[in-house]
Parts: sequence; C-alpha cells; structure tokens
Amino acid sequence: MERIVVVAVCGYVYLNLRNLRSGRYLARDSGWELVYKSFLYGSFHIALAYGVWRLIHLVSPSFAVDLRDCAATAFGEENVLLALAAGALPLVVLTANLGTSRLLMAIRAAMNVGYTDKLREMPQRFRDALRGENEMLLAPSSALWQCLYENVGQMVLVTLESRKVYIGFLSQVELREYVPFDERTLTLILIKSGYRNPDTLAVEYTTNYKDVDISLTLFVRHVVSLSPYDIEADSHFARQRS
Amino acid sequence: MVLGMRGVVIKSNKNAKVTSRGVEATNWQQYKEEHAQALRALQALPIKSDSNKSRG
Repeated sequence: MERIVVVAVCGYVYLNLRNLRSGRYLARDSGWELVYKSFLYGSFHIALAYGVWRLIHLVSPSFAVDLRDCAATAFGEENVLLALAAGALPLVVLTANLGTSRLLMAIRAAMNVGYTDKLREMPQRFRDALRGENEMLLAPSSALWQCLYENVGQMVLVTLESRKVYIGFLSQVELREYVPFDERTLTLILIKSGYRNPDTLAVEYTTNYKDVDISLTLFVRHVVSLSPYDIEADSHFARQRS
Repeated sequence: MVLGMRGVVIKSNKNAKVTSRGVEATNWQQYKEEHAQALRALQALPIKSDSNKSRG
C-alpha cells in the first residue's frame, strides 16, 4: 500500500511543480483527473529512475549497489513493476474517458512544447499554414474553421444565437487544436452592431462604433453564422428593401 | 492554397499570425487606413432611432 502512495506522491509533486513553473497554475488538474495523472506521471518517473539506475549499474555496479542501498524502498526492483502496473490503470481509464483521439491529441500537445524544432522538419506547405513560433495550429478541419481562418484580418458579419448581429474586423480566432471547442473564442473590433428582426430576420442596426476601437471577445459556440462582410452588397440589399 | 493536415484545402492567410491567443490579425491599423472611406460609409448607414437605449 505504501508503495502506491510513493508513486502517487511522486506524480503529484511533479504535476504541481510543472504547473507552478509554466504558469498553468489556474488550469491545474483536480478531482479524479489529478489522481489518474499523479499515478501516470509517478509511475513514469519511477520507471525513468529505474532505467537510470540500470544504466549506472552497467557502468559501475558497485556504485549502483551503494545507490540502491540509499534509495532502498523507493526505487527497488519490485516497486518499479508495481509502478508500471499502476501507470497502466490510469492510462486505460483516461483513454475510456477522453476517447483515443483526444488522448492522442493531448499527448501530442504535451510533446509540442518545443514545437519550433519540429517546424523546421515539416514540408513547406505545412509551414505556410502554421506560420507560428511555438504554438501548435492544425489547419482547419471543417468549413466553419476554414472560413474563420481565411477571414482573419477582414470584415465579417457574425450572427449569434440570441439574434444579435455584429459587424467588425476579425482580429483573433482560437484554432489551436488542443483548445476544446467550448472554450474557443473569436475577437472582433466592432464597427456596427444590431439585431435580426424577429419576423423578417433582416439585420437592423442599432449602434455605430465611430472612431473608437472596441474589441469584443465571443465564444465561437454562440455563433450561428459568419460571413465575410461586403459593404457594397449590403447597401445594395438595403436599397432593395426600401 | 494550402493543404491542411486533414486533407482540407485552405487559402493561406497573409494577415494571420499564430500567437498565444490563437490566430491573430496583424493588419488592423493598415486596414483602417486603407479602408477609411468604406468604414465611414458603413457607419453612415441609417440605424434605428432608439438605438442607444439597448446599447451594451
């Protein structure tokens, strides 16, 4: 029993140190996920320590035996097997919870911390799409993301679920694949806003944002439709209606 | 044109830059200067008169 506790504590300490160091403290894990991850990282580090110990054993057996005496309980041979077994359980549970693709995605995101090096090895066409320094961006996989990506830096008309309409300059959109859909945002620098008439669904403007740069960040999940905005087309339709 | 990782063809966007906030536009000031006239015209279109009551 106390051996399992060693594994968990090892993983817990590692997770907390990592979160503090990388400024991810607010996004730290909690609940069962923390337990699973503690075991996962704990078993990984104990296996790593065992590997290092075996290496030392190869180079200098007597020194390794001395080391083993020092760390007798924590890094013994039986404990390592136990740690590996403890690591397999959370991996299975995580896979069941997240689904294989999201787990693979999480692992890939974790491995992409030093992404710049990998970027150099990629074909030119990927580098064009991923023109980033150290963040991972996967090219859009659906028409919505494609439209969002292509219209960054352009005027767009956005309709929300509440029938609110915004026209603005699309200044930011979250496309990094490891950000869950529900947390993805887009930012507009507002030009005009209004709403859709409940009966006709035609856009009626209520506010002009003259000479001020007001930016508004929205959740992409609230967006019903998004289109590139063309002022000439809009005034054409306005003339048609009147 | 760029072939995305899942086989989706997308146009590469010269104004987009990947940052810690996702994809960000780099050309707002430039866009504002180039399209000053169009933006003014857009904001000159009529709005509903009871507008500012519901603002915010």
